[in-house]
Amino acid sequence: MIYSKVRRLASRVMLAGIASALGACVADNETTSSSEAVSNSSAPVSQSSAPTSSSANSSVSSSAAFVPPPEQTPGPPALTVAINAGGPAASLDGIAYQADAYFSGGSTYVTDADIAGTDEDDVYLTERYEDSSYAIPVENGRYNIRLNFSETYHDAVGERLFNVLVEGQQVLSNVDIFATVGMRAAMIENINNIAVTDGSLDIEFQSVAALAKVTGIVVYKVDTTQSHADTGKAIFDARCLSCHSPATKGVGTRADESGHDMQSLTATIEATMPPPGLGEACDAECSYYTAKYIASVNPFFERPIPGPEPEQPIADIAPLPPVMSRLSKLEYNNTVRDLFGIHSNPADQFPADLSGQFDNDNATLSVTSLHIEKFAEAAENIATEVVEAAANGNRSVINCEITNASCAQTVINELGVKVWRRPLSNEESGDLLALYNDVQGVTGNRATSMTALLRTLLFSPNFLYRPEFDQNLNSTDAQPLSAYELASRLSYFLWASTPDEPLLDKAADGSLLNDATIRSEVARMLADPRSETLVDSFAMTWLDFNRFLSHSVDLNQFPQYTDEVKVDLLAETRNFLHHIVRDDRPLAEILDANYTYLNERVANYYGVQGVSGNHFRMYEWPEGSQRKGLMGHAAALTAHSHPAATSPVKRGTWVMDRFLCDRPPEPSADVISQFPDIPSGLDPREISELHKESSAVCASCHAYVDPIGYGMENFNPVGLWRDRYTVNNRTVDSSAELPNNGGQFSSLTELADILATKGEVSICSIGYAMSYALGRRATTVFVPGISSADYPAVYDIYQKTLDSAHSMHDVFTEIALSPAFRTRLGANSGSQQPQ
Amino acid sequence: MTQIELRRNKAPKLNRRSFLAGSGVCMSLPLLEAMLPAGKTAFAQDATPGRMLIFFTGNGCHMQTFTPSQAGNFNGNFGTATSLNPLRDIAGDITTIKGLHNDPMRGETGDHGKGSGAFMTCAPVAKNRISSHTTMDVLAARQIANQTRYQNLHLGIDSVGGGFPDNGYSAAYMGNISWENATTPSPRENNPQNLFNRLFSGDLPDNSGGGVDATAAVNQSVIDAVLQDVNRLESKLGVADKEKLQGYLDGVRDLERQLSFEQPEVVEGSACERPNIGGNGNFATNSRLFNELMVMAFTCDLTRVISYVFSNGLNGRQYSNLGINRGHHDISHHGNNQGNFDLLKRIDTYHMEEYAHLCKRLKETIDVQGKSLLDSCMVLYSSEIADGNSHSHYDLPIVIAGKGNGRVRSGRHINTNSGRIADLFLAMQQHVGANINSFGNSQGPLNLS
Repeated sequence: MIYSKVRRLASRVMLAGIASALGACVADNETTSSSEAVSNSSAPVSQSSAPTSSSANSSVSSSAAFVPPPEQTPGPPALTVAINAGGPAASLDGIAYQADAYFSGGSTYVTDADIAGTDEDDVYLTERYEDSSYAIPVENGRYNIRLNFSETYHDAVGERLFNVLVEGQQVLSNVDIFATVGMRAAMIENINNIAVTDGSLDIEFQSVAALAKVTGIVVYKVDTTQSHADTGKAIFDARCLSCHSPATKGVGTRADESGHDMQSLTATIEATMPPPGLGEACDAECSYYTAKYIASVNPFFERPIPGPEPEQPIADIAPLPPVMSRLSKLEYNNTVRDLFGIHSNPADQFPADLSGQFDNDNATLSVTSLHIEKFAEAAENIATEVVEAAANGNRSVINCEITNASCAQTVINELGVKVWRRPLSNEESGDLLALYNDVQGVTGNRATSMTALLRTLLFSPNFLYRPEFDQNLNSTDAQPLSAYELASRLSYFLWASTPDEPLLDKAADGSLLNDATIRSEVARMLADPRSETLVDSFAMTWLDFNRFLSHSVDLNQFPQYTDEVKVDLLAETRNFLHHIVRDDRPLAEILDANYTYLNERVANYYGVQGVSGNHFRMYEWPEGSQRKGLMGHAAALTAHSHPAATSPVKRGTWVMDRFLCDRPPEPSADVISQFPDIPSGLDPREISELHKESSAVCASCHAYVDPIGYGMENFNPVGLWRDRYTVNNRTVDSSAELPNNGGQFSSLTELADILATKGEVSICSIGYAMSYALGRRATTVFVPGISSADYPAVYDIYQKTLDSAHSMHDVFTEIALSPAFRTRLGANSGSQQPQ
Repeated sequence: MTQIELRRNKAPKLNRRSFLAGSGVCMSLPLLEAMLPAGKTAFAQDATPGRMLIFFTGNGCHMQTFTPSQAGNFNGNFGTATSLNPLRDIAGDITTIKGLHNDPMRGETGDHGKGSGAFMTCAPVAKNRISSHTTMDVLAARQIANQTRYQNLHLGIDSVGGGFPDNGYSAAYMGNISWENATTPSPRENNPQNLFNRLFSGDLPDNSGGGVDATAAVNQSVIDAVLQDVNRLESKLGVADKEKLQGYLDGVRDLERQLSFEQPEVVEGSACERPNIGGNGNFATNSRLFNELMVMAFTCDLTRVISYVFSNGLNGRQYSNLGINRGHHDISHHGNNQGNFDLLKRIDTYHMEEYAHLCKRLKETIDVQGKSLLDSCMVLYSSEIADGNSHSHYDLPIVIAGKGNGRVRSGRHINTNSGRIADLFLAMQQHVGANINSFGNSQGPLNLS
């Protein structure tokens, strides 16, 4: 082992770093209401309520002092006036109603009855009916209105219907008191937050069927004092939302707030937001209020990162119900291999799966007519093969003599549970036996009947999909998965295949629901060769090497990049990631490993001496080497280049996307129109700089993407070292600084070291693993109220795996133990998984 | 929570067994004289079937040499539109149109993904999640599904891009111009050999030992059994999962319908013969293989609606067969550079050669009424954008081959000022016999007569 597993991670310094600011979207709203929103709090007061923190560890500092005013919290709405419509002064619910006033139109009516739902009947017994209106004099401001109604005349649904308008806007339509509460019962309607700007609160009652009525009106004035967080929200909505919308970056970013206190968050916003070219700078005052808002909505604010276990467990990790998955092509092939020993990969004939981030993305694994044709054909072929083997005495799958009628029941009992990954119900077993008997009746051929039985098992949605059944479809509380469902989740996560017998046994006796069993099963499964799939399905996909072989280079310029070299460069990377995944290495080692895997051909390509033979073996880079970690792999450097030129943008984008979960968008048509003309003879760094100089909008993205790419510029389009650019003979400069004081470097190895210590790299990587485990995109963006479920879960796993520096197996184990993996909300709970 | 009912196809009750047992006439097939038993006129009900094909290439075109400069008859000459020259031999069957827009694709970013995904919807697609619409080919094909063994075919040379979005627009939009519903793209056959096997080799194998009738009965038993499973599952699943199961149910119903058609009766030496397919090759080889298979699918009347993606939007294909080693998408952002223009012209011309090859093969094929098969077709060539640098969705490149059974007065360039491509799509839908009167943002079928 070259590395000690436990690594020191950097302190919270600049967790905001690169990921935070990334303002790559175009500002489409200028600073509209922000100045207005701030202006009412301009009087500085000496007493400071800003939190003072000892850990002013941030490397950015506030330029201008801003002392926030004392914070006033808005009081409850205050009673303004209450009116007993059509009657004298009265009392109800502790409110003194004055005699009817401010009305025009309508008639009055008084009755005597016992009104259900209240002990104080007076207000409900007098009324103003017919079309009428009230014009209540009030100060301008915002008001809540409560209306009292009772039905004392009509006794059927739909007989009396009316509309209510406030300030000219219809707020209640087709009110039917009888339909809502029945006859002689109290009904209350609340209408909130009505703005009055003309000194008169106007309420109208319009008849629709029979005659409109009202019995009481209560008016409350809303306290419009804004909390500092409210002020911040107004700023945020006006100035930040176009980039930090729920669908994109969310409020703040990733781990940021976790590492921040008020002072450092305020300072970071002031120093970095908005990015250049995206509007007026957010000054100290603006930054303070925005930080107050972020702090108010993000429960992870001020949580130290990295640090000890959180004091309070993260309780409300909402395990979103995934969309029912179907077997991907890979999963189908693995499944029939493990069930039947069939190695012919029948799913290769299926239409290509549409993949999301990973090929097991349940939202994209759909079924169409073409799939059904292929499923039917595959089921037929597999069933035929299995039955033929059985007829020839092979008992490995069908453990009975197929010429015996009783064999069908044996197969249903023993094979059914394996194929459908759960026990069959009596009804299901009965129907399968009936099918067998029907076919036997038609054909008189036991082999054909057995084949039809297997075909049905394999063509059934119970095999092709992985349904999970909720105890309560509407539950908004997390419900545990059944032990069999958990077995399938585990096996398709770690093996991309069906549960084996030990796993099904632990599902059968329920022990799989225990933490200890999950731990031991995950360990067993990771030691099994079937977990090799994690290298390709997870790691190689995550890090974008699936399409590597289709990348071409300019062979006139780079004749040394032969097909053999290309294949072996990919093998270098796969061997490296195989080691990381199978040998349980820390996540960040992907970036800063001081070793790689070489065979003779790749060694020669790199100019390394002393490696002979075709096989790959671990090779430790000597002190002072030019390469380090995955960024130093020729495959990675080549894949993110143009065929004949390097691209700091492509390389930078790859790192930001796959390690920081922050992919900069493609330039918009508007931005494209600002592309400068590129004179010939410029090297890639000069071209990037030209972009930045030509327009502030271009610079807003390139400031974040390009520095990472610059760090890799000493490697040419096929990943080989260069000191000078061919195009202009200029010396290559790999030095740059990550934005927002994110760290200076002068080489790829220094860049690798900086990135490897960033907490958000580990958080992002865990997020990718989570996405793969759940078969859906796990969001690592914090968004209040919307799809925020994954962020706490990922954060929690981050915390729990600190001791191992987030070693791969530790991460996989904690994912398997997490509520997001073991429980689900009801499918109809209204929660939707992010897509 | 509303419970949804699974929709069940109302497929006509065909008597499968009598079909399968019967020999000789294949009612869905006999289009060509060589295949018709003497004295049979199988066309009585459907004398002139209409066919449509969408030939899609990504990344737009170099419009300056793609669009003829003036409206009117070609007279065998495309003038400044030199990229069209490969079509010269069949200029009389060609119609080009300037001024068709796909307005709903307009927007700030993500033009390739959004443009491809919404190309045949003519309605906006959703950002940050997969939500499109059923596309015009699928809508039309569903209406005439009972006419042919395959409702429609969706083919493409490249595999479908998965992975990461184009500026928030799912990568699913990028390669999939054909959609079954809002969330499910039509699966694409991108392997000519697999397509050949599907179209021209057998049904579910007969292993019943009891002959054709017994095989049919066994197949039906299996289908009935899995439909029972669907019913049981349905009662336990949430709304979204039921929607997902709908794809399975529709597929099984479609399979039943397919089994009611006999395999094409391939007659060596007739027009509907087994094409000679030599497996898979590079894109240039596969292009010709797909052309042959599409011609045969129409010839044998296996389907009447085909959408074909020659290249995906945003594709970085390197046309090494043309000696071009830079990716198409890179070049398409030409920056008004003359060198890039030259490369784009070569690529456009190559696209036209492949399109022309397909159309000429259709033209060579003579149907039973002595007419060219191309006469019954509307074969559309287009892209998700016009110019690759500006990503415009206006003035899209439009070439139509075929006379659409007289619907299209061909051999000319039409200049519409501000037409909608949805209107062209509507005309194509009606041409194949679909009873559709509006589509996307259409205003009425484009008049091409």
